[in-house]
Amino acid sequence: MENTNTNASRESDFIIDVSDLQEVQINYGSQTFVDNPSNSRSRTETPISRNEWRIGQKYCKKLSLSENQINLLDRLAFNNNVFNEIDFCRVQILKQFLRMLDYFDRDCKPVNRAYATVLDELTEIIIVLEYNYRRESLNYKYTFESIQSEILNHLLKLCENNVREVYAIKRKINADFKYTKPEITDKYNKKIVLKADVFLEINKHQVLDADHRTNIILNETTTNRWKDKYEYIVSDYSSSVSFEREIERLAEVNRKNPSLDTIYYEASKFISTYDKNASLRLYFHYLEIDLNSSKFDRKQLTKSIQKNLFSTSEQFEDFENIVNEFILNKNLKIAFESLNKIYLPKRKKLVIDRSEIDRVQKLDLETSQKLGDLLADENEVPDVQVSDLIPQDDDNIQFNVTKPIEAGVSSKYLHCLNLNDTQQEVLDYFEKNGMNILQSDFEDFMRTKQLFVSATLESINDTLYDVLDDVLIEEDEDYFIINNEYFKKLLNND
Amino acid sequence: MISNIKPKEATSIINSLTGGVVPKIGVQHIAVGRSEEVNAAITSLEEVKNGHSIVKFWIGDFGSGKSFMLHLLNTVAMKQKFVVANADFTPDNRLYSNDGKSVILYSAIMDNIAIQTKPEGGALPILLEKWIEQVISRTAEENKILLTDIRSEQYRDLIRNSIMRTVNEITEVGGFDFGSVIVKYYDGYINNDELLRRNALKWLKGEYATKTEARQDLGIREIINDSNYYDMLKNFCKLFVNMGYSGFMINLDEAINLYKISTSAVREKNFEKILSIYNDCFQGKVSNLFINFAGTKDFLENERRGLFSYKALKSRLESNKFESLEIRDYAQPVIKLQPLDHNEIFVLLKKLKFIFNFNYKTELNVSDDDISVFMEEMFNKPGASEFLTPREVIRDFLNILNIIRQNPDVDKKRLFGEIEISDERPNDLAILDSIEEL
Repeated sequence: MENTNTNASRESDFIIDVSDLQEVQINYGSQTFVDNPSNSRSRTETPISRNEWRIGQKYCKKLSLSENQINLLDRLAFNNNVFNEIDFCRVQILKQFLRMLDYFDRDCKPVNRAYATVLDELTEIIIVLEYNYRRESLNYKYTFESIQSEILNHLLKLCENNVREVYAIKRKINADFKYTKPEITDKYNKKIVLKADVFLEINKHQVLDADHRTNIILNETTTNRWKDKYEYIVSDYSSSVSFEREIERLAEVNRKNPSLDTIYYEASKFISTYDKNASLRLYFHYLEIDLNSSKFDRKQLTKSIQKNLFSTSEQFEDFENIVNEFILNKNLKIAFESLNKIYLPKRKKLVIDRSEIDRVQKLDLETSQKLGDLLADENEVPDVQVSDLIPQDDDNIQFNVTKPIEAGVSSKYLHCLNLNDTQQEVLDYFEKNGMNILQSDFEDFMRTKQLFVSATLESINDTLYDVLDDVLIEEDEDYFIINNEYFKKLLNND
Repeated sequence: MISNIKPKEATSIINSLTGGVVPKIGVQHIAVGRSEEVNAAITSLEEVKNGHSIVKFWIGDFGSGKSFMLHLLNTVAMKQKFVVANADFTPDNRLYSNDGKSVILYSAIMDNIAIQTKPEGGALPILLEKWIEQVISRTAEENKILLTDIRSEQYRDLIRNSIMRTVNEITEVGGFDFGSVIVKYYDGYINNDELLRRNALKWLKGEYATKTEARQDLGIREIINDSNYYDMLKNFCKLFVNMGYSGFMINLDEAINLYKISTSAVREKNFEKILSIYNDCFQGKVSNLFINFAGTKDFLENERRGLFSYKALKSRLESNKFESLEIRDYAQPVIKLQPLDHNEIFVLLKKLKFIFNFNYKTELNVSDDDISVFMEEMFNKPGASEFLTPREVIRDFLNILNIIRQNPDVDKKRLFGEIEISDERPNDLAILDSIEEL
């Protein structure tokens, strides 16, 4: 915005400041500098050093200001406070201020007029209503300049509050306008404040996020500022890993915040329903900060959370032990390693009861014998011996078969097998054919005798099963076959 | 520790258990911790042999040993001259249906008929021929005809009549068609008409879908269907007993598939069928029949979908109220299989080590303490409490013995440490979640 009252400022040497705003530094221009002891010293210095305290001069490079912007900002002065003394915040306030004036110039100017005329009109109204100076008087001219600076500084305050809002600083600075007559405030609100509010609401996103250093300072001074960010992290919860990471980042920018322990404590409570290990880790972070604070509170997790975290009293005892050790050694790494083991299944010791084993073995022996008897060969010939536990040279069962002596009867097969004529004839047929017979040939052979193939083979297998403990005649693809070893066992070898 | 183990049994035990299945022979050596159940099974078999009929429900969680017990029953029953048939319930077969799913179960049973000399199933033709041979012999004896002459052309009608008469004597329902089909089987064989013989077998196995087809092929008006298959099973039972067998044992596993039937009315009809089988057996309406069902606790006790949802069955199958974990009653129709405890598994592993050494003619350096350490490792692995079954413990133990046998210097503790527990349970819950109640 262009200064339209340069003449007035040149003559301001003779005017006493009646604005009551000591902190507002009004730009009188380089030629209208107030003559006072401090300024007399400044007068000997270079122009740059003389103007260093002025905002426009100070930020001309940082904000790449134009000449007009420098002059404009030189007319401003901050009411110093913890917030705007942070350089990053101050820069954001000034940028927002400059953007707002651009917005006024661009979007709020009356038809066929510059926006500056709006300010001039408002200034004139204020002078008339508040001071009633003659238009040509020196007072009028001086006051005109002064009021315009007041308006600009009021806008600067609105911008600061806007930046504070963006940075989640709930406390605002007083931004009441100096003049309270309804005729003035109505017009001022309508022409300036409402438009400024619209701009600030729409354009607050243009304020850059506070950088790391700024956040640390802001969090140190505004101890509840973390809550908004924490609420956001909680509402955006997706996994315990990312939650823990976000809490770490939040804690990092709150490292100078006296409420840092509360952040960890709350985080530990929240995550307890999702991830027990993460909850315990965060609780130990809380403990670490609590231990290093002036007063060790050792806040306990609530009973319901403890119940949720520890399903057995053993787990709770382990946890208590780790806490007590940590208080002594303050070693977070060791504590975390111990915490990792709390939820691991406890190694169960296997208890073998010798007397119970004896009982099981005794019962098993009885059952095994009973089953063995049932499964043993029913019609075993008395002198058939099966060696039991001694390993044999070959895996087949060895039989010592003694042929019962019957006078006058001579048979190729053991008499005790009780093979009938048909069965003997079939076995002979197998022997004659080298123990392998094509199934179709065998069927033909059986048909000549009007006998069923399956029934005959089954009757032989069934008769000999108890002796051989296996099937004698088997199907093998297109053949019926007999195992030679089995066959030999059937023969009468006298 | 073990007496009378045969080399063949040892090999079968080690090979089968390493492969995660029950061995065909030698089961008596590994029935540790199942003394009471075995006694109950033996008693039941004895009763059935004496003419009674029994239904037993073997109930236990995954890995509790249901299939092992059925296998043991199989082995003992076959040795006791029972005809045995095994079948699993599946989503496509069931006890009651009107869309052919029951006759599929019947066909599965008939396909799996096993006897001692044909333990792997498929023994139906053998049994039929054996029975016909017996009828032929009996006819010859009754008519004073020489055995060498009875098979001649002139006596064929006599044999046919004899088959029909015998079948009619031993059967009650559907006996005429049943007898006629057996006569067709006989004709097929005598006349060398393989197609006729096969068609007769097809009829007996319930594989004819329509009456027309059966009439064309065999001249028989009826077929085995969803409504008469149970009568046919009873007929076969009588036939087998007539042949000299001790009885007919039918083992039906995976009964959870009945629990999974989504339509409550159909599910109830199936439970009603179980009730009628139960009543037949225990009221003496059928002789020498032994039917075993194996299923999970849900199949039995779930009040919404299990057998207990059917009040008449619940009252029959509820546990003896005086029974406890310590005091068991194994005479009940329901036998609940408790998981083996640590002591029993210890004894079992010790026996397996003995059998392993016997089988490989070796003496491995594995002490009782090593077995304890192995077990401790197993039971402390993540997931052990949920998934660990004796099958997995045994398989891992034998695998480790195999490694030690081939690498005597291997670090046993390292081997134990490498054990991992996997969840081998069928994903029933996911399936059940997807079932909508109609």
